[in-house]
Amino acid sequence: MTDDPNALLVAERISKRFGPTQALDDVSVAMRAGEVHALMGENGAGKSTLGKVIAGLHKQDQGAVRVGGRELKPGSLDDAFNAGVRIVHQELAQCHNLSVAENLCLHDIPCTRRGTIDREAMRTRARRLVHTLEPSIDVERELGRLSPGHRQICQIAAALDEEARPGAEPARVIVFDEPTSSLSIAETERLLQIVRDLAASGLTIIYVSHRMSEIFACCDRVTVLRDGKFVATSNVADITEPDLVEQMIGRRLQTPGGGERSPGGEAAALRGLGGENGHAAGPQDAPPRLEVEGISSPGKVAGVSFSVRPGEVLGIGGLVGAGRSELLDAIFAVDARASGRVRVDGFEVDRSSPRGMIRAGAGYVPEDRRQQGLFFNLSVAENIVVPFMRRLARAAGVRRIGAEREMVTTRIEDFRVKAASARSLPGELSGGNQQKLLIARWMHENAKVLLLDEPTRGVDIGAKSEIYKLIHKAAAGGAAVVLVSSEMPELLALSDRVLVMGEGEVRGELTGEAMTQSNILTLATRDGAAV
Amino acid sequence: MTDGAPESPKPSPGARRAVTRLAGAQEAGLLLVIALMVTALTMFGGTKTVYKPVDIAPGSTIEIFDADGAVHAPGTLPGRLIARVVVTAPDGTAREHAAPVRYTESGGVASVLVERRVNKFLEKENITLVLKDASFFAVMAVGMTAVIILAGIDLSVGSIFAFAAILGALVLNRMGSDLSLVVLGMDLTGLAGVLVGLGVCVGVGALCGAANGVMTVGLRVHPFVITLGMMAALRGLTIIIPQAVSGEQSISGFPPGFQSGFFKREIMGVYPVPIVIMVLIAIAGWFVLSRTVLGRRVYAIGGNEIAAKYAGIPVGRVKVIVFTLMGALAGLSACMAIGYLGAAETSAGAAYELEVIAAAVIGGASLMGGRGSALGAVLGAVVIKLIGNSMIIFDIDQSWNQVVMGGAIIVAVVIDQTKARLSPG
Repeated sequence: MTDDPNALLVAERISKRFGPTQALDDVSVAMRAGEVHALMGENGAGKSTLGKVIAGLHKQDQGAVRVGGRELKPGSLDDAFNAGVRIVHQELAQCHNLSVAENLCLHDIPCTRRGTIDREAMRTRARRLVHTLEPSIDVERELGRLSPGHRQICQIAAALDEEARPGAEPARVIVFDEPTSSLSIAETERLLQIVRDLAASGLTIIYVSHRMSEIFACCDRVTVLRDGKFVATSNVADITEPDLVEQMIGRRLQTPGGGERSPGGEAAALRGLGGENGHAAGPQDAPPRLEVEGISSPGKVAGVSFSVRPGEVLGIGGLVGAGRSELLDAIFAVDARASGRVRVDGFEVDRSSPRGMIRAGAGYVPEDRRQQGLFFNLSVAENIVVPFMRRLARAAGVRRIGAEREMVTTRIEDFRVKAASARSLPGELSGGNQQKLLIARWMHENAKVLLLDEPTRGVDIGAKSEIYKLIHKAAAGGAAVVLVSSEMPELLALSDRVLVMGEGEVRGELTGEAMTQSNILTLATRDGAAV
Repeated sequence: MTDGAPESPKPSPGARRAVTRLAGAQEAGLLLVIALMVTALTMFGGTKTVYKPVDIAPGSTIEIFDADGAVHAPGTLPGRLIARVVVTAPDGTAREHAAPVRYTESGGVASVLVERRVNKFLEKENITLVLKDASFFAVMAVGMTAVIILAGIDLSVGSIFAFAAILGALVLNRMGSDLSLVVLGMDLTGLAGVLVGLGVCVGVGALCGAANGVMTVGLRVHPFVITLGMMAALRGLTIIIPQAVSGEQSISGFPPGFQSGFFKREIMGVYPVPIVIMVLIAIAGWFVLSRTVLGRRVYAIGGNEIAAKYAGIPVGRVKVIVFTLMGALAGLSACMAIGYLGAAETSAGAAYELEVIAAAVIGGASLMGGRGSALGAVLGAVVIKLIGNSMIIFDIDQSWNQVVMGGAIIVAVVIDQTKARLSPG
């Protein structure tokens, strides 16, 4: 396939090893000019590594990357840049303390004759670059104050800058590495539009993602990798989601018949993974397990009230920025400025700190497991036991190691956290296992309330199905689950009811037949004043 | 591993175990360094001449002979002319000591000294001197390690040390050197001195530390700034207070039970109490950091403060406790120092903070937070003092001490970071 006559960029027989892990194993792929070419696969499949090898961020052990017939120097970001290959990547350096204009001109700051910075020239140039993509960005704002979507647009603008470096080819290939992982729905839409426009103007786009909907929305061809090996390249028009899933995981999932409230094939795939509502919500007349009354936090959440019965999964829908994570923070009393009342099993919870909620049997898996969840300097075992250490300890806070070990061993087994040992560090675990570890921390036998924020973000498809099963298990055990998810099919498949939020308020509640993607979006995007 | 990150290299179990073992072996590495230094100092440090007294039973007769065999009255012959000395015990057993040998009398007690060549380094007095010097810093370094694990820093330890020392000295000085306290027939004079000294020094230190902690947490200012301010303010008070009270820069005259009775008690020819305290604090530090809830919370906060908040850890309270303990240990160290030295000076403890931080860092504490150990801190302090001692042993200008110590800090941190890169996560 690398002898494709239309190919602009060819990666030939690429191998790359990280320590004992073969990240890429003899992978060949060819990209044509003007196409959006997706690289897909589970976490660890090598899709991101391949993207980075192409852009010169990683140096391959074997194989070559050629652009327009010229072979790139392996592992040289500069050489790739000069050949017109750019990468748009979350972790790529941007100076959040500088303005948009300064960021865009960092490589060549325009100066006046006196040697001072020519601010006007800088602004003009920045505007020219950014406003073709997004006219609403104020180039004088500090970059850190922009939304993630706008920051990313600035990065794309920088990638398209033809004067970025003297002698460099203008952009011909742009690698997008998981571009939507921190974007809202609206921002994602906008990004996909930009990607399509760029391809239409003749650029080759390499789109690294594991989000089905995006692949089908904007890509022309898709190459699937599995365990570092090439599986197949297909035209997106000729392939179905179940086929792609099969290529990604190497086996076909059993997909039971469709249900009316699950739109599209992705939900069907989810059901195969255990995403279907596989638990029975408690009786309708059971007293509520969790009651939330008038929870507010200045500027974030405005007077949210709801209640959840034992065994019920309450989904919280809404766009990014609607205040969903902020609501969970407020309920769990992580947000010290939040006000309102929370009752668990009818008892008022002391909300001066998260300890009251934890004592009442609540657990909270926050959105960002690296920033908010895990301790990377503590062992897997300690990561689970940390919130309960005091309760298990003897007087004067001396740890009861035996009791801790007992608690941890059963949970690591029950939750199938794959770690070399309980003493491993979380950094040695895959993303999915890190997430399971965090869920295992909170999902103990006596868990009454679980707050889950994007519990499957950034985990592979296998871990996803296990996490779904865990959620069902917790609900079946009588816990009240509050689930925030930006993945619409997941939200719909797991929830018994969905509360839709917008601008920190509850915009509406959907149950039964009314729980559809379009209803959620309608409520979420409705003007707050009209409600 | 977030989704956008590179597919993480996953070491095989064997390699991982090896790396983990290495990473966990900060103390082992330090012990190795100490062993190497001790070996080198012993082998290449050379010897020196000392005169050691021989045992003389009471009532012995002492005969002194010159090179010609003539007998001289004790004390009349210059030492270099003495050829041999014969000591005859009352039971008739005679022992002869050949030159080089010396005879002295002090306070009516005669003693015969024989010359011995001893290893400059590996000698009881030198070793205890090194360990004693280390102990004052090591005790503080244990607290500093906890502060650094929290991703904090305490620059005020030297000033707290001086402040606690001066206040402790003022109180002990009031108790006086002729204090006597007998309760129910038991002489509690010594105990009272020790308890009062400890109480004042440790109490003052703990209060200063608590102030650091409360301000850091309450005002949400980085501890660097708070403790920098505290360092200057306490140094000022350390000079002002004794001036106002007694007008002296140096305060001495403590109850003997406090000094020779405890902190400078002679046991088998050496003064081991500060060293024993250092060992006890090392053990206590290890226990608190690894076997108590507080200790693990310290690591958790240092590893990820936001996650600690989400896990219900009382972050502010833990910080205040740790800073308080740090202050208390600085007070304890001050108490050990004035008890050993018999005086407190307003200039005490200057620049100690740097040496204490250095000990913690050499001992494996990461200034990024989340890593460090109490035992490492103590060994770090010993390494620093060994460096100082080697300057003396090898007759190198003391100023080089600073240069070598600076190098040691940088090397320790570089090794540490290399290890962190090798280990997963």
